[in-house]
Amino acid sequence: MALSERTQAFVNLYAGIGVLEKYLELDESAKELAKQHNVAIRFKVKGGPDGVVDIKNGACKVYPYEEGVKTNVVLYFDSCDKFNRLVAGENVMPIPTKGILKVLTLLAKPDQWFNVLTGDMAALMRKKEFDNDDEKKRSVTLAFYAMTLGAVVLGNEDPIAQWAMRATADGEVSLGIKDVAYSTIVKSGGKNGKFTAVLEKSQNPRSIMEFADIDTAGGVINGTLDAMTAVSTGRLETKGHMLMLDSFNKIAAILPRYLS
Amino acid sequence: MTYTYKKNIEMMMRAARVVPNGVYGHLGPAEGCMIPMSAYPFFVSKAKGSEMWDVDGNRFIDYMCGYGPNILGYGDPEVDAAAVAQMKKANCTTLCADIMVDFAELLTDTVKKDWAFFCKNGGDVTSLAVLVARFYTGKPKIVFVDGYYHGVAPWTQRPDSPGTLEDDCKNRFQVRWNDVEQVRQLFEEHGKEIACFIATPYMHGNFLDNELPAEGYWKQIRELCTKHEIILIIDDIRCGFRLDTSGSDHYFGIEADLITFCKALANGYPVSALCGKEFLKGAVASIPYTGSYWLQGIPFAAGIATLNKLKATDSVGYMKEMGERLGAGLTKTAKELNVPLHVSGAPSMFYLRIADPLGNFLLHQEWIAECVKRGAFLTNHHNHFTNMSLTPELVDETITIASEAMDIMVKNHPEIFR
Ligand SMILES: Cc1ncc(COP(=O)(O)O)c(C=O)c1O
Repeated sequence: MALSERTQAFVNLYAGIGVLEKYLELDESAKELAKQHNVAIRFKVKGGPDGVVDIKNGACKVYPYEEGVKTNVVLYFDSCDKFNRLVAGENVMPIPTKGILKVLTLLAKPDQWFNVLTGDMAALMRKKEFDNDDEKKRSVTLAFYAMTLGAVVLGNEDPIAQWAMRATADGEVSLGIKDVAYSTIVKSGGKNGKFTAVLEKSQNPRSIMEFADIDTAGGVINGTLDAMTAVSTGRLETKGHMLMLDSFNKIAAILPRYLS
Repeated sequence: MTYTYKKNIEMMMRAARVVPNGVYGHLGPAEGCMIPMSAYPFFVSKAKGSEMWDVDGNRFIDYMCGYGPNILGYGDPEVDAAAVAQMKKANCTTLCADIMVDFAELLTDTVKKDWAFFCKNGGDVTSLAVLVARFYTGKPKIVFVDGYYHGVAPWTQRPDSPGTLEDDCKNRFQVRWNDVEQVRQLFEEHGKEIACFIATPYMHGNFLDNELPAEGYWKQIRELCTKHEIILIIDDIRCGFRLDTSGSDHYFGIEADLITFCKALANGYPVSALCGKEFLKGAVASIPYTGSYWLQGIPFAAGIATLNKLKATDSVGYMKEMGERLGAGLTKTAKELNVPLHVSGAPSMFYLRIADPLGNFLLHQEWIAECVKRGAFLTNHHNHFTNMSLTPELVDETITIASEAMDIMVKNHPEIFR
């Protein structure tokens, strides 16, 4: 299946980098590092996403750029491909249109703080062997949030996943790892609507998908355990409006192509 | 004491190692009708009449009937005897079993069509129907109705279905159920591109209250199809022989050009059929379409026995009566407990839904789970089926179980049912 560079760019920004929000909550040392840098970076990608990574007091939010949002740095990429290569760790220089010095301290070298943060986060999410349970928990939890963000981005931006998003009934899909982490995908606007991700537990879910434990969540998300087998063997509970989950599953099935 | 499923779960763990999803497709837990899964068994070890026993030995009164095939009762002695007799004669042979001709004559006579083409599954014959319509008309497009299910071939899917290509889904329109005006407009604008209109006799989709056709709906659709030279395909795979032994098109007062049968056709023996009008016989004869087991003898013998037995009594009347008896019992309990239960569809294929404010079906799923754990096998968002072996006693036992289950669900939710 041919991958779409545009879809990849959206996933990279809003799911790949977007999950920094949770990483900074879960990882004390990352939070300490981020605290030293209050900065709002706009990633403006031609033909792709235009969003802001806003780091303030050790917390992070990633959201679409809107007129009037204050940013310290604007990074312009003349193609999705260039942005994707930067995220993949290649030595690609964006064109800074604002805040040149900050760019140099931000992205120029692999050991700059932003690269350290995103690099450490990616390494933690990809890890397969863990030093301890706490590390495993953080890794799987982050991957779980990335899955939520990724599914929302795909549903809104990917031409195939959009079919599933449009077919999803309005309301909230609650995703969770039992007693560990929860997130919500909100569908609104009917057939021409959109998804929104909320990285918190849904109060009014129409459908519910909950992993029984960290190992099940980790296995399903990294592809070593297939979701339907987990459902069949009772390690993944699904209930409520199952057609909404069916759509989510169709999107989740595409996600590993873009987020791995 | 409610049921537990120790052996079922062990077997599912074994299955999951060597079979995708453990049990894939609509009989498996992954397809979404067994919710929550912890309430359901997975494997049957014995079935007779309207009852089945799982591998833990739990007994169920079964209202899914194998999702339709069980119309006379599991292990019907006459059908099985006919199958065994044919087995001793010839089954899967180099030449077609002679009994095919007997079955084709009986079936075409029963459903008042001019020819029959046999396959195995429902999807085989819906796919063939579309091929015939496209070849005969020389037009590409298919009109579907919201909530449809005609199998899993790529032409029935959306591009988000894994393995389906966007190109597979290009030649299609979709219309609302019971909306003749929309069909009229669509045909006026695009009639020259449309090969067929395919629909089930009434809207028996999942997750939706089932809806019968509005007065005059089918008559008008029939007229529009004729006017625009569009083939009218009735997919009678689920309803077939439960509304009318002569086919659901006749039940609703029309004549389909093509009609598909499968589930109840041979009481569980594998055979499906596309039946049609004379003018399409040449078209179907031109299409390369065959399968290793399509002309085996045993299912034809079973089909003959099934149809003869169904026609010997007022079978549709009986299955309707059993469905009405159950529906009335459940509705009475629901009224007493103040539960907004909706019973829809044809009584012999009743669909159940407890309404809830959020539309998340959770109350309904809780109720059904309590039913299943006590031996009334219902699923959540699929229509159910009655069959000829059901007795008033079994139905009344079901009402008792379902009423107790509803009472438990209500007591678990004092915040809703004060
Ligand atoms: C209306 C209808 N059409 C087609 C099919 C597909 O039949 P099969 O699963 O035998 O291919 C079904 C099966 O449930 C059905 O209900």
